[in-house]
Amino acid sequence: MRVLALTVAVCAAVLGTYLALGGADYKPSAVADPCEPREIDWPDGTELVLEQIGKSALDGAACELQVTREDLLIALADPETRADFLDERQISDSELEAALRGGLERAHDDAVEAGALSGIPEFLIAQVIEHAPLEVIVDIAQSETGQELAAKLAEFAGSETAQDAFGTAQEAIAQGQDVLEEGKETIEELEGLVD
Amino acid sequence: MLADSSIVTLALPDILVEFDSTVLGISWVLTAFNLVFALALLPAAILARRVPGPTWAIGLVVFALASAACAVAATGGFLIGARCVQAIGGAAVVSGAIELLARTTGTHQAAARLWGTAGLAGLALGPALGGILTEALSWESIFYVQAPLILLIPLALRTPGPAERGAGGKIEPQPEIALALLSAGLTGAIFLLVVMLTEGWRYSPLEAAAVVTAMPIATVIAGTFASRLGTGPPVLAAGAIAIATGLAALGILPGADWWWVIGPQILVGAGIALSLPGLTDRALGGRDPAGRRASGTIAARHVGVVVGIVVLTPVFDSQLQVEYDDVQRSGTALLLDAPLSPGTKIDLGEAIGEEVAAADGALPSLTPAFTSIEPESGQDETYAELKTDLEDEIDAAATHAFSPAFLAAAAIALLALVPIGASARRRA
Repeated sequence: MRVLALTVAVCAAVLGTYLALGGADYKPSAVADPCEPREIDWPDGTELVLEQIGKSALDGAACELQVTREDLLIALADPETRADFLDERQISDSELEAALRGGLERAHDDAVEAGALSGIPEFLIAQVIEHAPLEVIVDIAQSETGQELAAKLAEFAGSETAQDAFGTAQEAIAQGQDVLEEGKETIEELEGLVD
Repeated sequence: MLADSSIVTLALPDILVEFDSTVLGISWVLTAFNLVFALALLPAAILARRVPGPTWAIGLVVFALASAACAVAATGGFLIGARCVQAIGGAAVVSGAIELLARTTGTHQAAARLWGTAGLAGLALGPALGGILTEALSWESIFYVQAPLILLIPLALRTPGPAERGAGGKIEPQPEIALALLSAGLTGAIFLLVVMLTEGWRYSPLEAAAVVTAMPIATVIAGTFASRLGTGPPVLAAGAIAIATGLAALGILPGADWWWVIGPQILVGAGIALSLPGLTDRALGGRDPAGRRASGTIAARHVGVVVGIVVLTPVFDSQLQVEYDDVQRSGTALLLDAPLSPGTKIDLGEAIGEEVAAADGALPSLTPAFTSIEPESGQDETYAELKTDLEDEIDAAATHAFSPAFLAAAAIALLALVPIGASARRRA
């Protein structure tokens, strides 16, 4: 009986120690509720702003679809996972598209309001959000670099629209160069006077 | 032969990859062997009672040839089929060997004790042997090394003594039921632990072998003390409780490092030393034509192994899917929020995605994905931190995925207290 009592005591000590050290406390890291507003510190740089817009849009769409943004992002990884996701949650393609577009619109407006997005990128993104089909939105969201993303944005905007936008930008740049030239001449004249 | 299950267990992860199988599918490499072995033991024992030498010799030939067939298996189905044939040969070898040992030592009980010692040696050497062979050579080598057993055939030509006459009397099934239940639980300690170490914690077969050898070492050391304590019900109950507690502790590991599994293994090992030899001794007891009874006792242990694998593997497999979804979600969150450049994150996400696809439902290794991407300058530390965080997340999920199966194994082992108690009351 002494062996039994000793064994029970040792076993209780081992189990107690493991429990005290958190052996039964495992929980997977919680993911944030997409419907809870997040503090956004809008970054500098178009690439980072676009990333933040993507994340905010994902939150908005996930909230509307009542899923986590992580599940939504995993679903958007390829057509197969997207089909499984829609099938599993009884969501139609149009509902997904509306949710993504709504999320992007809100994220875009927030970025503009915060002064983080302006000029050509703002224009192109607004065009994409308003007119692009779901496939294009997903494709753009999967761009690997800022340059690739910009190229896709320009491609979508269509040659006419893009040329108009770039033409306006080129005119602005040319005007800026004229101003710089004039300023340079003025500085040279002033330097001549000083000499 | 007694080390077969523990040797093969160490090779299972490599076999799983080779045949692109699942944990559930590959568990049949063990299940099929143990099931056929248990079924073939009783007919083999009847045959061995009449012609022990030829039974042993034919068994060795079948076992050796089937081992060679396992080594050259090109499909999972062929391997499982060859394992079934191997088990028939193994049953003939075991039955023949017990009968030959009994005629040499004089009683089946003495033979069973010798057999038990050989079993402990097999248990102790099996994991190390399996790990070394799998890592140094290949999984096939574990079957090739079993083929030369055929060379032992000349031993069967020695003239054995007369057969032992059984004392007759009523058979007590309780010790065998207890043996079956403990064996079912112990499957968790061996099979699940190896799968957790190799598939969950990504240990190499050799590292896993080194870790799981703690259990047989504990059995051998505890065995030297246990033999002085006798085989009374309190000792047997203490053994069952130690095994169940060790298994339960494996189900509530506080971390995913090797040292956490040493204590539980020592408990399981000590529990084996306290309970298994005593229960085997009681099961034989000299009350029955013992050759058949000895085979029945061994069969009970193998039935237990089959029940253990069949019950515990689906429990683990379904939990793994839950944990897999959770870790994919939390890993995505960590990656999304990491303070790295968007380009790096997208590249890394794609590389991890490829690893996840390659792992095909198992938990992926992140090292190839992380080494394939070069972080932007100044982001090395953040990059390394993200890798650590993701690996911690995967390790914790992998460990937790095994919890329900280990706890179920503990419950099964604890059930052995019922037949042990019933046997004690009956004798009282």
